[in-house]
Amino acid sequence: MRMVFIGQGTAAAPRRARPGSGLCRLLATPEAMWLLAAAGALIIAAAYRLAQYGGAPSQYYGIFWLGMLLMVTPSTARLLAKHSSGHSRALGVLSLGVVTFVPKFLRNPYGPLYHDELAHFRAVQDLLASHVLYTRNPTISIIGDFPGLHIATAAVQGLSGLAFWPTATLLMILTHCAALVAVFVLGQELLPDPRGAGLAAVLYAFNPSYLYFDTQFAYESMAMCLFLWIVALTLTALRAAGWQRSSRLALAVLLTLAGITTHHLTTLVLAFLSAVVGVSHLVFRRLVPAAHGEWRPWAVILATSAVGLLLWVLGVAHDTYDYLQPYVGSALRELAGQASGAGGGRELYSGSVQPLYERLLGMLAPPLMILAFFTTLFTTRGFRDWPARRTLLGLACFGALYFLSIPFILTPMGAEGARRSWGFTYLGLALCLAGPISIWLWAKRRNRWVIGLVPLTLAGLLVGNTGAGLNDAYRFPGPYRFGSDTRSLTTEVVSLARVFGERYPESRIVSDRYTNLALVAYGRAFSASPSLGFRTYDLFLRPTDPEPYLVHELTTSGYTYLIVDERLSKFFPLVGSYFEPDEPIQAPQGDQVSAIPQAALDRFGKVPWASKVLATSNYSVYRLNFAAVGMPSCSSPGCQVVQP
Amino acid sequence: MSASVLTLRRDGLVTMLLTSCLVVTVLATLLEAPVVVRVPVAVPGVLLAPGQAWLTVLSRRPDTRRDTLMSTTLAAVLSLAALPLVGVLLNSVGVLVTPVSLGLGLLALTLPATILVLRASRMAEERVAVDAERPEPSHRTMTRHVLQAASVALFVAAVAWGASWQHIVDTGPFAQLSYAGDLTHLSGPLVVRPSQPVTVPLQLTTSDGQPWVGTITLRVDTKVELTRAVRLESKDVVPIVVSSPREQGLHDVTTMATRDGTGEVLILTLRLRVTTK
Repeated sequence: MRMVFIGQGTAAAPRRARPGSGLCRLLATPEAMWLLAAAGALIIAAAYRLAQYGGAPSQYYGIFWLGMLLMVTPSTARLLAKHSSGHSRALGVLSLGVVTFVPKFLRNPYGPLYHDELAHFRAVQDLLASHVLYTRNPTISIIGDFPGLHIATAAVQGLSGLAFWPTATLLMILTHCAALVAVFVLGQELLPDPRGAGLAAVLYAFNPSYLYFDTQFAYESMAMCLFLWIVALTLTALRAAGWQRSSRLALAVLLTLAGITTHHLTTLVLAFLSAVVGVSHLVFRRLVPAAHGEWRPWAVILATSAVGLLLWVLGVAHDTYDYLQPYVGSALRELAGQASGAGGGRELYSGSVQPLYERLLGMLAPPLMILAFFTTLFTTRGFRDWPARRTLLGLACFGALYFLSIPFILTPMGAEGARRSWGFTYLGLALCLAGPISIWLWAKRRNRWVIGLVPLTLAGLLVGNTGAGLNDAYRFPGPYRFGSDTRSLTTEVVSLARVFGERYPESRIVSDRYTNLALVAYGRAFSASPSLGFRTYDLFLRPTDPEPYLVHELTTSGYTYLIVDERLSKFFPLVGSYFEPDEPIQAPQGDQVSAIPQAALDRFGKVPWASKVLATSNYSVYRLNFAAVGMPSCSSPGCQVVQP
Repeated sequence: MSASVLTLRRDGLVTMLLTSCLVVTVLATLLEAPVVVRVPVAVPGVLLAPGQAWLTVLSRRPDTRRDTLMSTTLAAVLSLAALPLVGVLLNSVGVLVTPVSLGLGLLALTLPATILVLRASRMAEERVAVDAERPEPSHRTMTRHVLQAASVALFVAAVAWGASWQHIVDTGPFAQLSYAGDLTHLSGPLVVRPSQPVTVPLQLTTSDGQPWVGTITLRVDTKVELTRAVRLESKDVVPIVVSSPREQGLHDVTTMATRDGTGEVLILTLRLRVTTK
């Protein structure tokens, strides 16, 4: 099937690799490519080790980028080399996928570490233990309703006998590489120059989420791969006829159904993309009169994703709207607040240890993309005379959302959403930019002088975009930091969690955000989700007994263990919150080191309703029993109990 | 033999091999075979067989061309996508979602396609009686492949070596003090009679496996009832006996374990409800 498979560009490409320019040719040989990648991987590992032992950021960032550029350069050269064959470029895409997985793999080869990874780890353990779907996850309430990743992991883990983390890594490297291959297939289908397809893959691989965010063991990583292949299959269906069109579309529908069971937001974005590209086919049909009805495959995907997701939300994932709405609502409110000067924003790179060049490149990348985007649209006159004009215009509209997402990065809640959108919108940008740029660069001899700038620009894009993605604590190991998702996960808390899980399996616990993460993942505990209606953080904020309503809530909900990190009163969390993002806790003022008073923590050792049953160097586990000591409780907020 | 027939034969063979891997995987899981046996068959069987079988069925028209790398990637993505669909289907009809049930579900999905592929492959072979001779790979090609494989192996080894340097954040050796025995599941004040001997079983664990050496002190309310120097192997349990107070009501028993050398203090608390009833 030509589809899957080989795009029009490849057909024009020579069958076998021929000698190209010296350095490019040398770098692009498979042996050199893998040897340099091996050296790069060791350099990155060394950078991580330096960071782990508290090395200077300027040093470990520099070493990291040296290793990273060493790894990606040969694959990129192979993709962009003039005489690469289609097969050679495909190998280049695969190797680029593999080497861009290395930084995340080396970040935590021992087990799950990122916030979402720990939540999904628990979800897989729940599935393997209970054998039923849709179990509520204590860390991220909604992920149990989208069990696609968990089913896949449980199946591979259970059938192969591998441990959890090797299985998760295997699936993630598979989806990571397959995602890039899909972009390459799209490039082959849409762009006239084979190097354009390679450049599209490179541009996509250098998006802010590809290196770290979309490589974590989380449902969006798997969904992203499905999303890209759905788009690729729909596009190839559109360009085929008869049996081939039907079969490709059927496969795209199948992947869409799998996507619905895997991730909510990806399905929504897919529906939106299908709508945008479908509408662009309808709106611009007079511009390209040939091939009427090209909107139909997109309409099929739009209908499948929209109706499928609606049915899924109505039938299974009832909490989807409630989960997503606060992010959207808060982000818009914060953005409006910023625009009106009311504040509520976040400072870019605040408290960051990232080197200046990374920050500058991070701030330069979006304007550079805007400039390139509008220049290509202008110079190609909206892809005039391009065979895939209508699709490209649709993808350009979709890609332009990247620019709309940029202001949201200035708001705390919007930044989460903006970061998640880049993996999608960069697809549109990569495809729309790669074609015209590759033609402009390589078609005319007089432009050859610019080619020297290509590696520099791409390197700058990689460095800047990665820097604009996840923060230092996520990207690099380091010494213990209180209140960091990744650097607060210590051998001590993991050991405590395991012991806790053995002694008190499936217990309900109250603790801070960071201890909860470990206890839920490794101790099979159910953590309380603090909120204004369930103010468990009040236990930590004042050295007084909890209010009767909180006692009632804790007792009736079966929360029996309180786990206290003794460092709560000594530090302010790196992330900025002790329990949850919306907690009503002021940052410490003046000489204060923490908003949690030591007296409140000390009091747990003295009150009759708590018995300390387990202690480690930094953690204390208390068994709560309010009823046994006659603690007053009542069942409505703010109620008072008259003492006898 | 024509190229399309060769392709069909090759695809049929690959599909059959992968489906066999899936069958063996399910059987090996049922028989609880060791991991070394299951991994080599489970990975291709689960992550390639369903996608490969259906892709081959869908692309067995003579006019179709396939790029191996691309179609293998798509086969893997399709196989991966099949897993959630099978899982959701099993769950919706009330079947427990176990690895074996998922494996059987995948088999049910894969076998029809495999049969179709094998039938097409056999029919194609019957049409062409004479088998074409395959060109032997040249010495140069072989050397190139060996070099490439060696460079990939070196890359994998480098990544594995680099991975061995990384570890989870370690704040240093730590000790853990907990109740053992009957007190492990302590849920509230312990009801005792006045002056009744109370056994407090304590377990001390060290993260580095070294013996814990130090002093254990038990206070009842504010009065020190017992101080004992101990040397315990990690995870050993030491039972400490104290007498409950004579006065009725709630009393605090505090256990302090002070480690020699570091001076680290670990504390446990216990409430006694002294009553004559």
